[in-house]
Amino acid sequence: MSDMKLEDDDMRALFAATPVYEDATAFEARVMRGLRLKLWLRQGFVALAGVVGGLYALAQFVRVPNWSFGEKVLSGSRMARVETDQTFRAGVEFFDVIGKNAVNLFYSSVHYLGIMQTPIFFWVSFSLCLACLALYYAYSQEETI
Amino acid sequence: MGLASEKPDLTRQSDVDLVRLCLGGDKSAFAQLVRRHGSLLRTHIRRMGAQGPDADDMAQEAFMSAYEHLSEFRFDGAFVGWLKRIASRRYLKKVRANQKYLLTDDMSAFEPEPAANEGEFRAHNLDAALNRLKPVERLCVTLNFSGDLSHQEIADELKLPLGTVKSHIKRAMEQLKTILNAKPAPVLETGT
Repeated sequence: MSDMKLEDDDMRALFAATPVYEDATAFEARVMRGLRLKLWLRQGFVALAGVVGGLYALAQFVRVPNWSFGEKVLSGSRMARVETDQTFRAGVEFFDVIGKNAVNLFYSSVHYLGIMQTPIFFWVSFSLCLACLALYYAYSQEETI
Repeated sequence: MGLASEKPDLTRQSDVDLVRLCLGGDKSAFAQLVRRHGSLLRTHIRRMGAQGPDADDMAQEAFMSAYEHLSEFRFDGAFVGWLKRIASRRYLKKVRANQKYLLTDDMSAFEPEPAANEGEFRAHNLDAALNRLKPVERLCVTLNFSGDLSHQEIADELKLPLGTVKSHIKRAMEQLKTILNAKPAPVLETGT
C-alpha cells in the first residue's frame, strides 16, 4: 500500500477495519454486569423511596395526638373474656369503647388536620417533593442520548 | 430433531433482529450486540481521542444508554451507526464538561515530530497516524469517517463554523495520507 496513493475510500476502509481486543469477552461481561446493576439500583431506589414514604406516612399517622389505636378495644375484649358471667355487660362495654374510639379519632383527626396546616409541615412536604423533582430532572439530563 | 420453541442462534441473527429480540425482553440478544460491536465502539472512541480505560468506560456507558433507549431506535439506518452516534455524543459531552479537550487552532502544542524520523514510522498504522494529528483534526476526521457524521453535523456537535470543520478534515486527511503513504524504514540485510 505504501506505493499507491491513498484515496478517501481507502481511508474509509482503514477506519472500518477494527482490531479484535483480547478482552472482548471480559468487556461484554462488564457491560452486562453494569446493566444489571443499574436496573437493580433503579428498582432498589424505587423500593427504598416507597419504604421511606410509607414510614413517613406511618410516622405522621402515629403522631396523631391523644389517639392510640386499639388500646381501649383490647381492654374491652379482655374484659369480655375474663368476666364470662357478665358477657352481655362486657359486650355493651366493648361497643361503647368502639364508639368512644370513633369519636376520639374524629376529634384527633381535626387536630391532625391542624398539624398538617402548619408551615413546618408544608415546608417539609414541599422540600421532599422538590428534591424528588430535582432528582428526576438530573437523571433525565444524564440519560439524554 | 430440533424443537420449534428452541432459542434462535443469536450469532446468525442480524442486528435488527437482535434489537427486536431485545425489545421483547431478551437480554442475551443485547449481550450478542455487545459482543458483535464492542471492539468497533471501543476503537471508535479511542480514535476520537479517549485514552484506554476512559474509552472503555465510555463504550460501556454508550452500550448501557443504547439499551435504555432501544425503543428510540428507528430502524432507518445501521444499528452500529446509531451506537456510534451515542458514543460520540457522550464523548463530546464529557470532553466539554472536563475541558480536557481543547478545540484550539494553536498548532504549536501538536506539531508532529521532525521529518527525520518519518521513515521509522509504522506507515500502515492508522491509530498511530491519528496520534500525530491535532486533537480537533483527529476528532473531526474520526467523526466524519468512522462516525459517519456529515460536515454540518460535526459543526453542530462541536459548535464550530462549517468552514472550519471542512478545513480541519481536509488538513487531517492530507496529513494522514502523507503519514500512511510514507515508506517504512528499509530492513538492513547483513548477508551471510
